[in-house]
Amino acid sequence: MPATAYTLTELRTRLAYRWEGTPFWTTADADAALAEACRVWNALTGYWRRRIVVTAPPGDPFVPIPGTIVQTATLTCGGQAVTGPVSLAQLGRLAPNWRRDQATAVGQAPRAWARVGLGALVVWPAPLAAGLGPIAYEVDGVRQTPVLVNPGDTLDAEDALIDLLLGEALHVASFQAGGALLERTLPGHQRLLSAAASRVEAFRRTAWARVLREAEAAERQVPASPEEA
Amino acid sequence: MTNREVLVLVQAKLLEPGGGDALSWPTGLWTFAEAFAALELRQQHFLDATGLLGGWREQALLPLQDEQTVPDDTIQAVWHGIAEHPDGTCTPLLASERASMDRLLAAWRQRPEWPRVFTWEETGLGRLTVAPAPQTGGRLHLFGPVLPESVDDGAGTEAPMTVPDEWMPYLVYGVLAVLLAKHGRGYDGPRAAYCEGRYQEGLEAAAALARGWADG
Repeated sequence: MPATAYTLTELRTRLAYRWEGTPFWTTADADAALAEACRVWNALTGYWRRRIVVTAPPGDPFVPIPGTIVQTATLTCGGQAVTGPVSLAQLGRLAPNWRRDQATAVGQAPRAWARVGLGALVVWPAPLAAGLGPIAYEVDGVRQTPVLVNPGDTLDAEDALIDLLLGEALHVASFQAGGALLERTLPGHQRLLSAAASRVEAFRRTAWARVLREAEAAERQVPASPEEA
Repeated sequence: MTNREVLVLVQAKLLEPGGGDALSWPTGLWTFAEAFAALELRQQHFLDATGLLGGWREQALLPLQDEQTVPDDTIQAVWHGIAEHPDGTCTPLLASERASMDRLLAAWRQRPEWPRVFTWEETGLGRLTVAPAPQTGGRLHLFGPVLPESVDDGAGTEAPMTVPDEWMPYLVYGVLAVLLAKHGRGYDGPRAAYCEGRYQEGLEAAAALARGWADG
C-alpha cells in the first residue's frame, strides 16, 4: 500500500478539504484533533513501531520495558528470536516453574516470553551471563504516537490510513459544536473502529465491534425498492 | 502526560478559556477541584477495569489456612497466581468462583494439600482464598492491576498520569462525561452520553488487549 510522509501543514489542508466553507475549527483545534486521531489509532492497533535494546539482570525472568515502547511485539536475545507473546496461563502450562527456572548454560536464549502489563515482560527460562553484566534483549514494539507540532513535522502512514485519520479528526473537531455536526461526522469515527477491528483479533469480540457489525448488516439489509419493503 | 495537560485538553473540548494550566475555569460552570477529582476517579476506574497496567506482588503463603490476607492496596482483581513450595516448585493457580471450587475440590477444607485454585469471592477486599489450603508455608505470587499514583492532591499540583498517553483520549472523554453530566448550567445530556460511550469504547478495547496477557 502506498505510503507518504505528510507534513502537518498538508494534513491541516486536507482536513479543511472535508468541510465546505470556512472551517469551524482553529489551527490549534485541528492539530489537537489530528493528534487524538493518531493516538486512538495507535492505541487500538499498535501501528507505529520501533526497535530498542533493553537490559535485565541475569537469572531474572522480568524484563522492564521503558515507556517509549507502548507494547512489545517481538523479542530477541543474543540474536535468537524468542517465541511469544504467550499468555501467562499458557506459560504456566508450558513451564509451571517459570518464576524460578534459569537457563542451563550461559548463552542459552529464553524459549518463550509473555507480557505482564505495559511496563514489563517475562522470559522463560531466565538467561544467564558469563559475568555479572546484564542480559541484553532486542525489543520490537509499538512506540509512542508521533505528535506533530511544527508545520514541517511529518507523519509516516499509508494513504488509506491518512483517509481514516482525517475522518476521525473531523469527528473529533466537531465535538465542540456538538449536536447535528457531531452526529453527521460520526461515520468517520465508525470507519476508524471498523478498520481497527479488522486488524486486531482481540477487538472482534468487543461490544463496539459487534455494534458496528450489526450497523453494517442493517445497512446492507435496507430494501432496494419500496416493493421489497 | 501530566494531570494538568490532560485537563487542558478537556478545557479545549469544552471551549473553557483556561490559562493553560487547568487551574482556572473562568466560565464558572465547573471548578478546578471538580475537574481534578473527575480525572482521579476516571484514571483509577480505567486502570482497575481494564487491567492495562499489571504488577507482581510476592508475599508469604500461610500454612493450613485457605484465607490469605493481602495488602489493602491490592485491587480486588488478581488475574494470575502462583503458589511457590519451599522446595522452589511453583504451581500456577487457576482463578475460580467459589461454587466451581467446591465442586472441584469437595473436601478441600479438611484435606490440606497444595493450592491449585484461588478466588476473590466472598472474602472481599484484602483477602484471597486458595484451595486446597497449603499443608506447609511457602510464597504466594500474585499478578494484578496496579493502583495509580494520585493525580489530585486538592491543590492542582502537576503530577504524571499513570494511564499511557495512547489511551489518554479515552480518559479525556471519561472526564468530559462526568463534567457534562453535572446538573446545572453546564449540563449537556447528549454530549455527556456520547462521552460516556467513547470512554466505554476505550475501556473495552484496553481490557481486550490486557485479557490476552493473562488468559489463553
